[in-house]
Amino acid sequence: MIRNLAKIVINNGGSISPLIIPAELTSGTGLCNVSLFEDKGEIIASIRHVHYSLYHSEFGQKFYNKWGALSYLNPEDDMTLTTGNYLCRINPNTLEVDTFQKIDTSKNDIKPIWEFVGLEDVRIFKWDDQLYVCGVRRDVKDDGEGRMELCKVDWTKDKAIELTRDRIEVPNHTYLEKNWMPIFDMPYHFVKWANPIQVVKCNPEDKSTQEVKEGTLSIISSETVIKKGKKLDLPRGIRGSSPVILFGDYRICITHEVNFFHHPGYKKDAFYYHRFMMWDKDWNLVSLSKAFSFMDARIEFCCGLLVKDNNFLISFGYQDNAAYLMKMPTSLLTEMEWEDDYPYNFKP
Amino acid sequence: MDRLKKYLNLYINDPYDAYVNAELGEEYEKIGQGAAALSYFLRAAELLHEQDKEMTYCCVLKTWKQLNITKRRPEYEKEQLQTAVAYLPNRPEAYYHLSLIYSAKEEWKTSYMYACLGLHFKDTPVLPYDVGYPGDYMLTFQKAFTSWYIGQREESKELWLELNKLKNIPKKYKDIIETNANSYKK
Repeated sequence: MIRNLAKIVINNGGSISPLIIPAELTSGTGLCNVSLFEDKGEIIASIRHVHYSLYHSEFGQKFYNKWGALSYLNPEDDMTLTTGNYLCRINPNTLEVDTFQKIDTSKNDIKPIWEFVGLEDVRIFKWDDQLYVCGVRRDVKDDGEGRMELCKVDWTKDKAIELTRDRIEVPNHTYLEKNWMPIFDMPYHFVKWANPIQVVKCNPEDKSTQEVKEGTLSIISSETVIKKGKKLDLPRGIRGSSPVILFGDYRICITHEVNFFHHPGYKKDAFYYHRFMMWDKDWNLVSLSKAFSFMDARIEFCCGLLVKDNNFLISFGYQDNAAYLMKMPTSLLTEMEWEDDYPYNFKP
Repeated sequence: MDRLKKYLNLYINDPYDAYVNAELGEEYEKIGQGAAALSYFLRAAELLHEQDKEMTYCCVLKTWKQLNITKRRPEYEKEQLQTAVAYLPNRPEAYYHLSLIYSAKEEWKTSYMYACLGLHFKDTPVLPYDVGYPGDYMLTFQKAFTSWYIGQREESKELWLELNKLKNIPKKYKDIIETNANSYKK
């Protein structure tokens, strides 16, 4: 397994940049899970700011804190895990943050009643020339039910305002919908599941409302429009991560998977992995990389993927505490480890 | 940003170099990115805990320091300092910060105890990174301060007078020391 993709990248013509929002705005707590979009040649990003620092004692786990080897260090007088999001313009040369604005969500906020507060793991994109952010929100019902929410954003030089907030309902009740991967070239479509492929379409015109304890939600419907292929026998379930983007005649994305386990102290621990996954235009799986890590940490999460000038731009969070943007020459796909038996195998 | 990028690249080339992890943590701390600093200092501590005790202890204290700067995590702070003490009890820095925690809570005997414990280990070599330890004189300061509250007023007086003879103490502490010492001269 490639545990350190970044090493291959920086030693073969690529680079990596830290993405920073000033500590005066964040109290130094975590920045992570960055998503990317190219808008008229300009790279824009959404950076997740979590109001906690993640404590993860990874190795011999000699340094547990009070809450274990893996814990969220949220304010002890505020037990919520709260997220805010910054929209950023990325310097095309340095791939660092040039400008940023926190998304003002006050127009649509209702009093949160669950412990995960805010729109989590946002992906940023334009569909039909409208800027959207889309992530999971879990704070509107007292059981923490999560749904993807599609939000129009008005972003100018001075402000970023969430104009609308539509909660995407599913035909049959589930507890949690998250990490749907927006398909950049197919407006209102997401890859909901990747193994086997399941594409859903949300219907922004099919609106309704739902009364909840603290307010009224705007609801839009969704439906499954593509479902094909056989489930691959993989060691862990494949979950969404980056958006799905065009790559030549194909569509490509980065997925994630998690191994949850209990460490020797019998508390919850986790190990995240990622893969490249590619389909043809008919959603036949044509390539599947083996699992990899970006920077040899156990908790990493990728939300951003673009192709620009023969490079992938890949953004990811490191232990929820730090955010990075990696420029990876697309030719380095040959350096990845690939699962056999797929027609488009990048092995040289 | 250049130094941060330098150590980020060094880290990527060898994520198991604990000293590079610590340098990267330090660069993040310098720009206030405490969460990122926490990640790399904790990793450094874990990688080194069987090889370099003083550096490991320093890095554990750095994991305390990041949230001390962020604030609003008092239980975490206390336990992380206790983790440092448990790991290497023969250094003064964690005792000093524990003494501060308890004097802020007006738990004078506990604060005094930690000041006394720390003073047992004064004159140790300086740690590789700043962990907010001004010097051994501040343990004496804490002991002078807290002893007054636990009925040891003569001891408190002697300590303030002893502190007042020291040179090169930052003005903010020197002013307090002089005020207390002078009160005994009247």
